Amino acid sequence: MRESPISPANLDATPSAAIMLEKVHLTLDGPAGPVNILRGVDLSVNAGTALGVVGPSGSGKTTMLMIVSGLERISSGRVVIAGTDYANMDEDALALFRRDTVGIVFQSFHLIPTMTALENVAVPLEFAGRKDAFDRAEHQLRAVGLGHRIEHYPGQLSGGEQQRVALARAFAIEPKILLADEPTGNLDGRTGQQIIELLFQLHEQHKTTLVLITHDLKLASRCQRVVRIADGLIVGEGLPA
Amino acid sequence: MGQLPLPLRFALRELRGGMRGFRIFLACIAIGVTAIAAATSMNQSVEAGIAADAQPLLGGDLQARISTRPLGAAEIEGLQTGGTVSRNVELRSMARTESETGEVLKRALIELKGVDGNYPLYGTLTLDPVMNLSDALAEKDGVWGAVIDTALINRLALKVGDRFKVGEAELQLRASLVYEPDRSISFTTAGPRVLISDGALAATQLVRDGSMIDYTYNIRVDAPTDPEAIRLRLLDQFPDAGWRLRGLNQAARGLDAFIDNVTLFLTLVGLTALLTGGIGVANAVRAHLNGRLVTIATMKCLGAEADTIFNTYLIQLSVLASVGIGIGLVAGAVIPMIAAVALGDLLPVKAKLGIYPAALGQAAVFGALTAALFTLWPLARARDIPPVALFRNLLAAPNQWPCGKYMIAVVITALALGAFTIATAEREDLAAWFVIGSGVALLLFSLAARGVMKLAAKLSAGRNSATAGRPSLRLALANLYRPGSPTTSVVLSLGLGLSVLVAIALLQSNLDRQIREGLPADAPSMFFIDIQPDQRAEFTTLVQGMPGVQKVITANMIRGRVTKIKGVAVNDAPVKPDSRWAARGERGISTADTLPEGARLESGEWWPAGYDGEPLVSVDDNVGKDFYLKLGDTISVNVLGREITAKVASFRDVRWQSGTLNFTFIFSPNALAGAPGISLATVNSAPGSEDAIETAVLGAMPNVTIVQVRQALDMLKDVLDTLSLAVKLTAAIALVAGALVLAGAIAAGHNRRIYEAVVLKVLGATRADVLRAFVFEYLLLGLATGLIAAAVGSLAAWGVVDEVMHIPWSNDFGLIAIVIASCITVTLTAGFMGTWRAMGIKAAPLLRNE
Repeated sequence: MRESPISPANLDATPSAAIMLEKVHLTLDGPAGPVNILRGVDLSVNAGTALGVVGPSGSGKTTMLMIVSGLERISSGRVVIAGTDYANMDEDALALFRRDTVGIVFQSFHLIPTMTALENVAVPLEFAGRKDAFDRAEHQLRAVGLGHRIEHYPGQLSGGEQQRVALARAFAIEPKILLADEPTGNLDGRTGQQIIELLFQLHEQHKTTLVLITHDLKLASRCQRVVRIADGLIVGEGLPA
Repeated sequence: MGQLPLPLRFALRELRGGMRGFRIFLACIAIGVTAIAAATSMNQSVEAGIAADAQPLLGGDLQARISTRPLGAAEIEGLQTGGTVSRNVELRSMARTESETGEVLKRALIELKGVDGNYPLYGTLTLDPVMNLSDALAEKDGVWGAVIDTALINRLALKVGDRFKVGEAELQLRASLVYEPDRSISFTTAGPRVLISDGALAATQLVRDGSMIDYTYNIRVDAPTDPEAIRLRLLDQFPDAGWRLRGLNQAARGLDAFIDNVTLFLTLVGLTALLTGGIGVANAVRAHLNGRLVTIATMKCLGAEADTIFNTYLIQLSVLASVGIGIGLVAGAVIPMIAAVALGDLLPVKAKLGIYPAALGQAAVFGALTAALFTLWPLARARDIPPVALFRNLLAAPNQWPCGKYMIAVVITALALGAFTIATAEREDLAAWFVIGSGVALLLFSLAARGVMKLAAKLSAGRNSATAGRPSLRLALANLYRPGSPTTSVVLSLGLGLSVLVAIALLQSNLDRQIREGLPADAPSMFFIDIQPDQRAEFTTLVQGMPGVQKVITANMIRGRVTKIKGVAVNDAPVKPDSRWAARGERGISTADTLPEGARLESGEWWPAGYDGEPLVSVDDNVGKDFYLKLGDTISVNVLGREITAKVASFRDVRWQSGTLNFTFIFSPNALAGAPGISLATVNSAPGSEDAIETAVLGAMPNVTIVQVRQALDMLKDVLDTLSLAVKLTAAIALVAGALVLAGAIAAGHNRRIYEAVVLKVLGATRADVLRAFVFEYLLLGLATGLIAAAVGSLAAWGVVDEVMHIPWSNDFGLIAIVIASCITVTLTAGFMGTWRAMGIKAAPLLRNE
């Protein structure tokens, strides 16, 4: 479970890396001037690995996840995800890449309120032009135990159910990489536990590379690797002592 | 602040954020209040202007008018006991220029006015070049002078000093007539004014028995006597004179009624804008309160009562509505002043500009009632937001009916608005129809919007629906029927204005077609008026001998007015509104031995040729029904002071559209034997032959007035264009209000669109995918609104064309297509402008700050 710290040298030594960040910097303009969010992050994650990311609020965890998903542009450095270098990819190319390769689960679920559970899960499949979008969506909903709620709207579902729909949606495209940002943050302990079980179960089933951002060290410990991030830098591997 | 009641304190705290987010709310109220305040202020300033200039506008302190015949000596003597009398005579005729050989060069239909030496009793005519009126009209070197409108000077290609002819008289143009203080206002003036002296009028030889002439006697009350007392005395002294006696309170002949009609029209325009804007108000309030869902739920969780919530937002919105009304009142008070400068001399009276509190008060009440009507409902719903909203993913306040007392308040406010509209209108019947029409239209559009929402839900439901595999389309359809969707408000507001536009455009196209193509092939091409009895045979012989002439029909006409229906005085007899025109004032009646062409008997029998029994009359079938007449009933008419009573012998179905000579009342010839009349004639001729016929008739009979159908149709078209321009203004203002509502609805959905754009991008949607979803949404919204507006507008136009005007209906699909395309363009443009910003929003910052 414990891995050694990443260095540029061993980045090159991991050609099968699903995620590779090299000297990633991100500076954003804030009201009081430029803010260095990430200050040279190096990270390599092998395919199929579950990576836990822990760190205090504002340390840059979510920003790193946004960069991996292609939703945030870096100021400098290099990002290669599933063998694809993000350099020179425009917003639409990144969207298409995300559609085929990356699934994301948020703390706030982010379902489309005007669509049923089934339609929400089918959306990425439809964008991908899959003819069997609805069948697959239904299969995924059943897989997360929501076979009886497929025609319900998000407003008619509990928080746990909504997060299960979000999980089904994320796994529907069979992504190579699944990014989960505090997926249990808005749920009670028991429901959160169920969601985590489901998340790891799906990760195992699909052999997906999982990046799990969490404040919960116990939860992080279930991952094969854990990195600690603080003040925009990866400051170490493994859980804090 | 601690002493203030709780709702007021909360309202003031909420207002600390300023007016941002309420621009549409303010604009929607302000636009309607502005229109009403401007219309009523303008009316009051014009009426004040009329009151100030009443004597020149009337032409005296008192006026007697009579058609067909001059007053008798006794009557004139009666008038003269009141003060100085000035007589003028008005009639329609032809002015012409001739070559040295007497050949007619140019000609024009004119309104001729002959005045005596006392004219004008009040006010001053403006002539160019400036000169004394009596000099301008005097006979010099055997030629009478004339002053005429500039338009006619151009048409006859005259310059000062040139000569032209009217009737038998040769006249010399001495000056152009720039301003005539007592000229009446009308959309349908027959032609430009030619002003001459009564001596010149006599020389024209146009004043003959039975000719269509109006005599006006103006009186300047010299002694300190109340003109109204003189008026009452004259009415008492000459009960059967048949004149119309008018005092200073009716000074602006036609103008006061015209101004009142314009005011009513503009007030209704304002009210339409207010009602349309009201939907925007309701929208803005709903969006505002939906944005406060969490605040309201939190306040309730913390112990706020429902009424505290209601009163808090009621106070807040009342303050905002007052600001909107205030903006409208200021704009409405200023606009008449700008309009007075911009209109310049277009109005014949000088408006007395100023602040008219009553007018502004009326507009303020309209604004307040409309704001209340459209605010109460969403406010009452916000009152009932459950605290549990905090824990649910609610998009909007629950879609439920407000509780009983608020429903009653909404109904009372609606009734008050309707009652106030009717009570403040000059024409209560029109205003009542407007109120009913608005209610029906709002209901129709609401139902139609619901239909659209249901259809959208049906189309997108299920995995085998049309939207399967098209998430952009499904999102667009879902946005049409989701809670808080803009569908109802956009369909209502934009649809209302558009349907008025469609109705007007279709009405106009049907009328245009009727005018251009609707005349039957056998319709005459020329009308001839004022043929004297001794000219009738000569006229027929002359015209029938002209090349191209196919048919000549003549009929005699006598001026008369209906005095009794079934023995009951006409003012007391029941007459349906559609036919009141036939019971009012002087009109042409005719006699005939045989049934005229273009008419067919519905019931009864036509009298035999040479009939010499009891006087009989044949009545237009529609008028007969509206007069509640049946065969054997009697009609009495007054012809030149003589009352003639005739028995109804038949009812005729008259094809008025045929353009052939016809009359509402045709008497058996013996009924009006000996009464002085004139003849009318219609001529059917080959195209292009009209000018030659006109020249020949005018050369031989200068007193005859000639109307070419084509020219008359052009005049009619001008009138229709003027009217339709006015109605289009209504539609335009309603559309501006509709566009405001659309903008408001799109602005209210801004956060939703950003959210959707971000989620779709996260799920792998390209910018084109996101754009497509929004384009679909506004395309469908525009299409649905356009289709509904086209359907409602067509229905309204069909109702008027088929049921009221009784002319053949034809839909103009090209026009409807243009309207729908325009509607789609408007919604797409507005939607695109609102969407473009959402498209550019980066996903990460929003997701990071969730």
